Order: sequence, then C-alpha cells, then structure tokens
Amino acid sequence: MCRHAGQRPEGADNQLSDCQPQGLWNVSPLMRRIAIALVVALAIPSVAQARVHKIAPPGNSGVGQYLETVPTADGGQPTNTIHPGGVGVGVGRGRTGGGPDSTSGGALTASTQRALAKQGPTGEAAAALAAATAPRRARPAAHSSGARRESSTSTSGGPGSSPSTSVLKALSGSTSGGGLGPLLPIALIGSVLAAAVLTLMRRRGTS
Amino acid sequence: MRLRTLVIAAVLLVSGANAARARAQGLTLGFSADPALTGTAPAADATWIPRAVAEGAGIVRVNVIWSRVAPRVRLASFDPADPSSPGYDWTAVDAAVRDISSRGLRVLLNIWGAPSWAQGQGAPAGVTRGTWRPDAAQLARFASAAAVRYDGGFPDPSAPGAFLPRVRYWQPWNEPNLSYYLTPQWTRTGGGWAPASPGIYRGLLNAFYGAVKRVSSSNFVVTAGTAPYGDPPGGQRMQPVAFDRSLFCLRDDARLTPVSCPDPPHLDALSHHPYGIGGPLWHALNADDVAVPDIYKLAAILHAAERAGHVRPAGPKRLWVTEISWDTSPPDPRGIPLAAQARWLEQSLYVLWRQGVDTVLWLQIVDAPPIPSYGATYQAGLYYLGGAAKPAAVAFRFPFVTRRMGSGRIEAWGRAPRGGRITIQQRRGGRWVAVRRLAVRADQVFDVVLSIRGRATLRAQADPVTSLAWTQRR
Repeated sequence: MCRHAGQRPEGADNQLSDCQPQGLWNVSPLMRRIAIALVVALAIPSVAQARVHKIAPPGNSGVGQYLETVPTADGGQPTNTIHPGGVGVGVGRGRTGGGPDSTSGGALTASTQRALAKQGPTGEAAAALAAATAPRRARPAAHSSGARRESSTSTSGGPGSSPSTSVLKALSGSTSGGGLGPLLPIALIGSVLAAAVLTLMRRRGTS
Repeated sequence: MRLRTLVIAAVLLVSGANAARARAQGLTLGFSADPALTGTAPAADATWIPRAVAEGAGIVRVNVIWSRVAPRVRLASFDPADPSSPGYDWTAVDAAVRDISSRGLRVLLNIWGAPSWAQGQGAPAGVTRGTWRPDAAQLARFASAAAVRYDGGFPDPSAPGAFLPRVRYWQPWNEPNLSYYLTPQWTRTGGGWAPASPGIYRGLLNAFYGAVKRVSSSNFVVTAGTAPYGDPPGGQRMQPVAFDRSLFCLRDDARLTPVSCPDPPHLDALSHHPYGIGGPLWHALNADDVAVPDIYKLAAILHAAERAGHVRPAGPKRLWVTEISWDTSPPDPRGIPLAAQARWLEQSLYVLWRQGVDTVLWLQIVDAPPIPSYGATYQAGLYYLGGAAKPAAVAFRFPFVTRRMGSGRIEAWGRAPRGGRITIQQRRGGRWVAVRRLAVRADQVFDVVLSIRGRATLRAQADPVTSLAWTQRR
C-alpha cells in the first residue's frame, strides 16, 4: 500500500504496482464524511476513557518494545500484551488490522471498512484507528517467544459473545471494559446526523 | 486529498527548520547489528560484508554485550580498564571489528548489558538481567579498555605483528527508555511517578564519554538510540521526547525551559530508532512518541539544549538513526509488501534527512533465519535469507524520491551511489529522456527542483545503477 498517494515508485518488474493510485478519493463526499464521523465518534470516547491499547509496527508486529500505546475503550493492558486485532495500522495489506488472523474487532461494518479502504492511506488509517480503539470482543492471549521479540496470537470472540453483542454491551457500559452507556450511541448517531446535515447544507449552498 | 496534502505539508513544514542544516550535510548509510555482518560465520566475511560495501554502506553497528566480554566473576587480578586483563573475552568483538574494517567500513561499537557485579543493589525480581542501575564508573572502565583495544595500536592476538583496527565510533547502551535495557524507568514519588532512567543514563553516558575521549579525543560518541514509543508514567517504557527532555534537563513546556543541570550530557550525536507503525509519513499518535516524521521533536530538544548549554561540549550536535526497518511479506506474513518496503526505505531516508539526520543504519542487510518463527525474528533484510535481492536493495543503493511542490515544480531528491554524473530521467512515450544532469560525489545527497507540469514518471541513473521510478500526478 502506498502511504503517500500521488507519489509511487515503479520498476523492479512491476513489483511496485500495488502502489498505483486507485481512485483513492472517488467515493462520495457524503459517504466519506459519514465514515470519518463514525471513526471520530468511536475514537473520542475512547480517549476520554484514558485507557491504553497498543499497536505495533508492521512486520515488527511481534516486537513488544515497539508497540505504540493508544487510548481505547477496552481498558488498560499489560505492557507486553499485543492485540492483533489492532496491530498493523497502515501495513499495506489492503485490509485493516494487520495480521492475516486479525479482525477489526467489530468496530466497523464490512461496507464501512471497504469504503474507508477505497480512500487510501487516510481511510485505512481511520479504519485501523477505529479497530484499535474500539471495544473488543474478547481479550486476546499474549504469547512470548524469544528474548527480544514477542509474538502474538489471533483475536477470537469469547464463548457466547457475538461481535454485535459485545459491541452493544460495550456501548451500554455493561462490560467490564467500561463504556459511556447510552451517551455513546447518542453521540454516534448525533455525529452521523450532523455530518449528513452539514454535507447537505454545503451542497445546497454550492448549487 | 486536502487532508493528505495537509499532512504532507505539515511534515515538511515542521522539518523545514532543520532543512537548511541538513542540506549542508551528506547522508551516511549503514547496517545495524546484523549477525550476518557481525557474526563469526564465514558467510559474513565472504558474502555479506562485501555486499554491504556494494550497497553503499559506510558504517556497521556491532553489539558489544558487556556481560559477555567481561568475566562473570572477578578474580583479584582482574583490572577492568585493561583490555588484556585475564577474564576478558574479546574474541567475537575482535573478529567483527577485524572483518568489517578490512573492507573499509567504519565500525560503531554499541556497548550495553552490565555484568551482575556492575549492577546496582536492590534489583527487584523480574527485571531484565544487566539493566538495573548499571554502575557508571564500571562502565567507564570497560569503555576505556575497549577504546584502548581498538585505538589502532593494540596487538592483534590472532595475528602476530599485526594490530587490531581502529574504532572511532562508540555508542553507550541501547534504547535506554525501555525497561528491556535499563531499569528502573520510573521511581515512585509522593503522588505519582518521576523519571528515573534519564538520570541514570546521563551518568552512564558522561562516564562513557569521558573514558573513550581520554583514550582519543577524535573518538565519536553517539547516544543510545531511543525506542519510538513509550507508556504513561509508571510503565515499562518512557516516551522518547519525555526521556530526552529529562536527559537534557529541560522543562515540559513550549519553550523547553532549562532547569538545573549540574552534569549536562556529553555527546557528539543524538540517536533515535523511529520504527514506524505506518510508513515514513505516519506520525506517532502521542505527542511524546517519535516515528519517522517526528524526529523534529528530538531535534528541537537538542537545539534547546545546545542553546542552554545543556549539552557538552558546546557546539551543534548531529542526529543519527541507528535502527530503522520494516519487515517484509514474504517471508514474514505480518510484514509489508516488498514494494512498500522499498518505497518506505528511500522515503524515510528523505524525511529523516529533511529533519537533519545525517546517518541512518538499516536493520538489516539479510533476513534472519526464522528460528523460532518469522514473528520472533527480523525479516527486514534487503536480501532474502537465500541471497536473492528484494526491491529495497535498489532503494538502499540508490535512494531517489520525488515530491510535487506545485503545479509546475517537482522536487527530486536522492543520494548518489557513486561519483560522477547522475541523470534524472522522465518517461515520455515509452522512452526515458534526460531532464537534468548533475555532477556528484559518491554518497552525495542531491536535491533539485524540476520544472515539470502534469503527470510525470521520473527516475535517476548513475550507470550502471538505476533508481526505482516515481510517478507524480498532476
């Protein structure tokens, strides 16, 4: 994936062809704004919770000491714990979440993820941020392998907890990970409506 | 599009203050502590060191783990400042220094990991061995022994009549903002936590600096590269900006106000390890963390320290990056695509250089054997383990980056793989046409502005080496 759209290298027997610009901003402005509003709405309460989560450099995703700490709605984690569902922001795999086993944690619907992915690096980053900071279905296990580096396992849903149930529980504050209760869905819906209204007003203003 | 443009503009804007300084500097490339280069396997000498030279490297960082060279138990006859003292085992270091130097590469000796007798008292259970409050005086004695051994006049024990090569570049410790290397990171205060590792490291750095400079004033001391990300106070890691602010006795305010600093840090270059979560334009999320485009934060601290007299000796200090890399897929399933690695490598060199960095060490030249797993090993080589080159080998040998500056202007930046003439070419109608010719020295950085409108695909050529090509949209 190209982190810097508009500039791409070529050569090396077309091995760099995946850096071709791909209509990165061709989705409708309304869709884009809604998606960004969703991501922001998810991220803001997470920041407010002032809890931490960690994401890792791509490839170095197993290196415990190079994890980046970010706020999350899911509560604090041990320093050496890695959450594959949140790693790999911008790793260029054409997906969010980094590793092949990773998931987005149920933060975004598949269509929203696709829409964000079409927006290139920024969209993928937004999706990854949402995945990294969203309430989590289940706490992943942390593995340690090697003295210097630590590997991780995939995230899987806990017994009896579907993604939607987990998210709903987290949103309503009924999980141990906390939440904002009914305020969060209200904030989410409000953000989406505000973005939609803003877009419509601008469109009318320009037409 | 606007957002992306703003992000790019922000990176360039904040780095602009250092650009003038950087333009006067070249860019030295090297490799960091790669066992393929520093190990004792025959392949290092026969294959990888020559390849490192061919790729344009000028320096190789070699790990010297103090506790492995020094005796576990000190006999009465042991003199830690004497490199010939019984108990010392320099065999592996001698071999690495000898092999790397013999090919004309400079060596950076990175010393860390205290023997148990050189640690402080009262280490809690569970701290990493060799990290607990290392004794600065003992480190100074070891540094002095090493500096004497590699001052160019010390007899080579394996070759009667010959001398061990001279080592000029020294780096005390590694990533001192991580408890993996230095503990404690924090100490409890009445109501919270206070930084501990910066003060401990300042003592180590200054003792080390004095020791190697006493052996030769032309020795060059690079600070331990800080790791890019930290934790909130009380965690296992300290954010690098917070670490350096404390190291240089600067207050956490907009002006970086100096506070009392009885024994300021002594150094010749400040180092950092900006492993990126994303690519080279990806900023760290936290204000005190430092990814590739955030080096300017450390530069600002360094310059504030220079102004305040909080770094010795007086005068401007250099910025180094002694580790950076991205693993690739293949072979690491969690790595980035080969093309992205190549692109990110050269673009990170550009972004770092713009911020004043003049030396960058890539970790590593060849993928590591995946033992016990890909996830637990580095797969960031320019070459696969089997020896085949990745696209990043071209990007390292001949970094070339373009950036649109306006509707009719494109910046073309690169580092010459050899002296002579470089041709910047544009693809027109299936052919490559020269648009600019430059006379350069080997390893010289060139940074020119081309007047080109519309979409353009550009590359640079210095026969027989051709860079990767970049396409600029309108």
